[in-house]
Amino acid sequence: MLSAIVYLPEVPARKGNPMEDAVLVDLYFARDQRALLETQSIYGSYCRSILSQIVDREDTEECFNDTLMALWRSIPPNRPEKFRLYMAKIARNLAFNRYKEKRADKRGGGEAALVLDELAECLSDTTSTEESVIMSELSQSLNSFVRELPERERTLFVRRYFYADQVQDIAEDLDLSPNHAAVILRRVREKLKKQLVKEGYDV
Amino acid sequence: MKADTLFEALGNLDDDLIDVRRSSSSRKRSSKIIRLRKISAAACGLVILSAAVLGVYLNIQRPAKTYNASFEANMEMTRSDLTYTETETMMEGGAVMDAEENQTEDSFMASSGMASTTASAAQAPVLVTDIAEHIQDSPLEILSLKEEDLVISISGEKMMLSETEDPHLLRLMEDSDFYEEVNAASLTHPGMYHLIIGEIEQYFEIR
Repeated sequence: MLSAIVYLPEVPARKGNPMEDAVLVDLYFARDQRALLETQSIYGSYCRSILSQIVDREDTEECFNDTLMALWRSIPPNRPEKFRLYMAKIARNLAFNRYKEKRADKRGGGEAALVLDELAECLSDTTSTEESVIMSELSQSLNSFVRELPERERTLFVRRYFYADQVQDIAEDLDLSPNHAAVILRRVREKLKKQLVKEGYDV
Repeated sequence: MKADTLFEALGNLDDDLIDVRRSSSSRKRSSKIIRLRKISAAACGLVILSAAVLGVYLNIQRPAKTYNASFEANMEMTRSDLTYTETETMMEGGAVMDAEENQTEDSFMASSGMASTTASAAQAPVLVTDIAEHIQDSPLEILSLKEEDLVISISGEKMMLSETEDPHLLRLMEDSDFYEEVNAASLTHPGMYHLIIGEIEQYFEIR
């Protein structure tokens, strides 16, 4: 299966729609490998556009293959309502993990990362559970924060800090000057900081 | 809290929150490229159009210039030198020209700056002799040149050459594709049309 994912042939790009998404998810559920080809065809460009904001070109392709693999592993049991957004989240998180790995390599070489991994085995699961609880709570806080933002601020914030889009690109799409967009982003960040402090986070 | 943690937590935002419209920078770049291509295509089109307009303008201007500047002056000179006679023309039948005719023709061409267009230049006497052959018994009179046509008089009735119903002239035009030849000559060398018409006019004036 792995080789089938890594050596996917080039497929012409198509636009996705809800009907195709449902059929696509059904293909995953049926463990039909055409699901991967269709995903590449419909969402290949979209997925790469997210990945390329976080990692370089070479890693983009690797992360894209990893994303396909993650989709294959997670569907089923998951049945995403919006396949595109489900894929976007997976791709973003994988790209970020790749980014952190690269950064760790640059700081201390591959060995440092290995040592940290080895030490991590000595830590109790509690820490991991605590971390995941904190992450879950933080995610909830962020969800409520973003949801309360006005539409323009929300779009700016999500595009910048979820999709890691360039400020200039976002500004162009919203008919703002890059400076104006940067000012809005700074205000939103300050607002977020206040909320996180209020909720007891150590910022 | 590290920025990493915050970034990672943002990865868990609800689907409806991250469902925002994005246009990737690559798509932007390609749309910019498309826009640039459209602009350059439009610019090319404009240049070609300008060149075409200029070409048409010059084509219109040049015959008039040639006619006005050179031809009028040369006509005066040539009238005295021209040695066509009805008898000679009849005998030659348009096929042979004597040296004097050639010389006259050459002086026409040279003085009008058309020496290089020998093929077109050779056409003129043929047309002249053709006309002479066909209209010798016609009560035709050429009055003047108006725009790209001749004002003629047949039995005292004025009309344009292109409107004539004179059987001799009509036959001439049908037989020798008179207008096509004249037009072709005027295309191969601007001013040739006027030169030919002028020569015909000259011929009939002498006659």
